Amino acid sequence: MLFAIQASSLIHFSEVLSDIQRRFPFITNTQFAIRTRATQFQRGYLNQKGKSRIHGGFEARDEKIALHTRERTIVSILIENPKIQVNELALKASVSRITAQAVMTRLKESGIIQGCSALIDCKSLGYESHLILVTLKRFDQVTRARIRKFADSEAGIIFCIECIGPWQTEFHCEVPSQRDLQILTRRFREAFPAEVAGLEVIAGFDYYYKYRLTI
Amino acid sequence: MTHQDSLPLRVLHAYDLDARQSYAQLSRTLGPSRDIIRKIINEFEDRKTIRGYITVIDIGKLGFTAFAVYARIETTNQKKIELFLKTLTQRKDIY
Repeated sequence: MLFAIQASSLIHFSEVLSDIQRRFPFITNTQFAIRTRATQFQRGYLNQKGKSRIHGGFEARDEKIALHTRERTIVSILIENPKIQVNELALKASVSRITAQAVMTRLKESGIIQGCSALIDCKSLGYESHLILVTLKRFDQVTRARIRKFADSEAGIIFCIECIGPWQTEFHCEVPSQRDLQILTRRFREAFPAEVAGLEVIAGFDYYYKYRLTI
Repeated sequence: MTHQDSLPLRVLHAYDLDARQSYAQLSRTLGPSRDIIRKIINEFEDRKTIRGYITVIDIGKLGFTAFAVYARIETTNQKKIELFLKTLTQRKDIY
């Protein structure tokens, strides 16, 4: 299984992981990778007109943007209730509607809030979700850019995540069948014959839909 | 809902892009009335095709790093696995 830990430092991450391992000793062969960049793509199969990058995902940075208390409150409310109306948001945050709208606009403009997305269960649409972990022999800027371009051109890939660790790229895929998954992985190997050291596929990957960050 | 360019799929596609769009906005973009749009979205929610919504946040800008953890579960005890999954879903620093 694969899960992600949001941590403010490597020490924080180690503490969380150690706690889990201590409580659940049946978790073995633990490996971890630092996700440095994630790009989310729209589901091209919903409109059959190609796809494009959406929401942007995230990117690891050295500098962080400090939020004021009011902004922090509004982000927290939006995490808990992504579709909340501005009036209700203002009420909950104890600010005026204009202020709530202005803060939201500022958070969007700064790129902290990238959008609101529906969590779509592709299985009910006849698609399967799979996860591909790619180990690369080299992972320089050029290779990374080429891999992002590949992900952008493949209708089945909805997330492309760059990592530092035992694997360097994660593809989250939604395809109609295992055969389509095989075709996708073959195309990837053919596109990067000198770079790919290994591919691990977690077929039939089942998402536990949850996205409750804490800030 | 097998036709790939059906209205429900177009609504879902629009929601995939921006789920904060109002029914009125979707109605203007896609054509049908707000009531029809609302009915389609309600059906997707009832059938759990839409399992929920998320606010997409660039956690890197807030100073956080995401660590992907790959682990094997070496037990067949379903109760232990369920407790493990419940613990993961309850923690706010794990997703």
